Amino acid sequence: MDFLNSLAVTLISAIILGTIYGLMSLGLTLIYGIGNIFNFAHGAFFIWGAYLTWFFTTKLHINMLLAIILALLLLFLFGLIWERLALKPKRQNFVNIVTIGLGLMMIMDGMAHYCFDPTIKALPPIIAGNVNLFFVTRSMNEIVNFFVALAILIVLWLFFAKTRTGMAIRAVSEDNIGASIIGIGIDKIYTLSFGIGVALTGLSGVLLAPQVYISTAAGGDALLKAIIIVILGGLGSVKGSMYAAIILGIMESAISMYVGMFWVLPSWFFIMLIILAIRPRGLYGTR
Amino acid sequence: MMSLKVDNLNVFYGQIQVTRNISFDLSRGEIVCIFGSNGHGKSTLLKSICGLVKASSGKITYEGTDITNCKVHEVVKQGIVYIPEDRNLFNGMTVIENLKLGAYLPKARRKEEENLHSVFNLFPRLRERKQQVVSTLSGGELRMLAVGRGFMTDADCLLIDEPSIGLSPLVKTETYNAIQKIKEVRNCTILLVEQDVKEAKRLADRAFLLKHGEFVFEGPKEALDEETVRRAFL
Repeated sequence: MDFLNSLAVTLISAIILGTIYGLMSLGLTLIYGIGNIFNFAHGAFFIWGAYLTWFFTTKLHINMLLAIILALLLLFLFGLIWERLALKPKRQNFVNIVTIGLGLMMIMDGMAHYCFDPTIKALPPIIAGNVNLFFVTRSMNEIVNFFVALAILIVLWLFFAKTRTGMAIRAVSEDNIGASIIGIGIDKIYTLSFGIGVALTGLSGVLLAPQVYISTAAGGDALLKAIIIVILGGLGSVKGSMYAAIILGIMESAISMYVGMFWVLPSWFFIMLIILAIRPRGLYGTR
Repeated sequence: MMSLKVDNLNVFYGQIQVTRNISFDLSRGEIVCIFGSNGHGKSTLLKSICGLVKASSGKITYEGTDITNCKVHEVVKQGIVYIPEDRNLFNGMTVIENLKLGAYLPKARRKEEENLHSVFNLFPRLRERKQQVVSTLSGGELRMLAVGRGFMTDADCLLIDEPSIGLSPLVKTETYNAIQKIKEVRNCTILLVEQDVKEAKRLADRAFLLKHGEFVFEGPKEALDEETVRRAFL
């Protein structure tokens, strides 16, 4: 019974963690998959989603849902402007893009300290309390995150498969010359997809804030984990990132239960090295 | 009525001049073929008209509008579509998704159903394969899809780059028959780059022969004799 109990704990934790990590890496995957831009400011957008929501709810006393929408809208607009002004002129140069991303990360971290002071902030969960699943007790917030992540994946799938703009984004990610010769303005698509990626990253920050707390350190942690997930899944592959997130979720829950928390991150790197040795482009990578 | 006019077009790749003072005009509903061997600037000429390659000097006008160095999607909006030799299809998508994306612009979207019906009549094989992923199609089917996707843009001027390259004689004839039908259905202007002189001459109203970036022959296709072509290709 003990074995069954621990197995259930590991599996349920793995699924919940995997979905959350999948959500965490989604923005990074989308931005790379469409625009070939490795967004090193990912961690900063992650944490700014949470900071802005915290600011709107605690300082301006705006309703939580409205605060989240407002925060994401601001991040989306910032993403559009940033892509157009800073990234578009340097899109062809990988080193410039990396440097711009790292620079933005530092500026946004410094701005966060300046605007919200360096103390750690906490965002209340959307639904408080715990829930018992089989033999396992998890927080309601984790369950909400799980369903929100699923809903986002379904909405994204519908957007990319059924809408003309979503199909145009897929077309640009597959062949930008092919897209431009049928009349798709590829610059607009790059800008739009960067904005969507930034907003999704911000949303993952908001959803995970009750678990990780809000600090600039959490942004660095999110960036590191998202990079491992995206590389393991295959650069730019949403499906690959999701599988990678589940694998790493299983690793994390099993390692923390049977070995110890400190071995979680080394185990992630270890599994990443093994999979890259077998499949150098990651699980579903094509480039 | 004049449709496309190119005036003293010069294109460079770095220091290398690819086209030299090229000038010509096309009337509405005309099919003109450009012949020439590899590396003499045929594809570059089409790419500079559609905006994929920047012109260093010269002027390109379409239906009276200056389109020199316009962005590619803006040239498509004007009614010109480029169908590349490399096809540039969306390999991870299905045939029907590729065709529907061809009707991306609002003008084309209004005629999406009608044009889709025409494409399936032109290429019945595409109707059979419409739910198939593009990466699984044969070379001939890929060529049909590239032409079909170009047709879906509802453009009045088609720039087609080597439509017969790598195709079997049967599929080649099928593709050329479809291009002929497209012209009849839409009365569109077609600028065709080709190496298969015999097959393309069957279709063309006029022919140009390009050598080292310059036209060495311009005139009705009947005036283009085998000896001139042979000398240009050598």
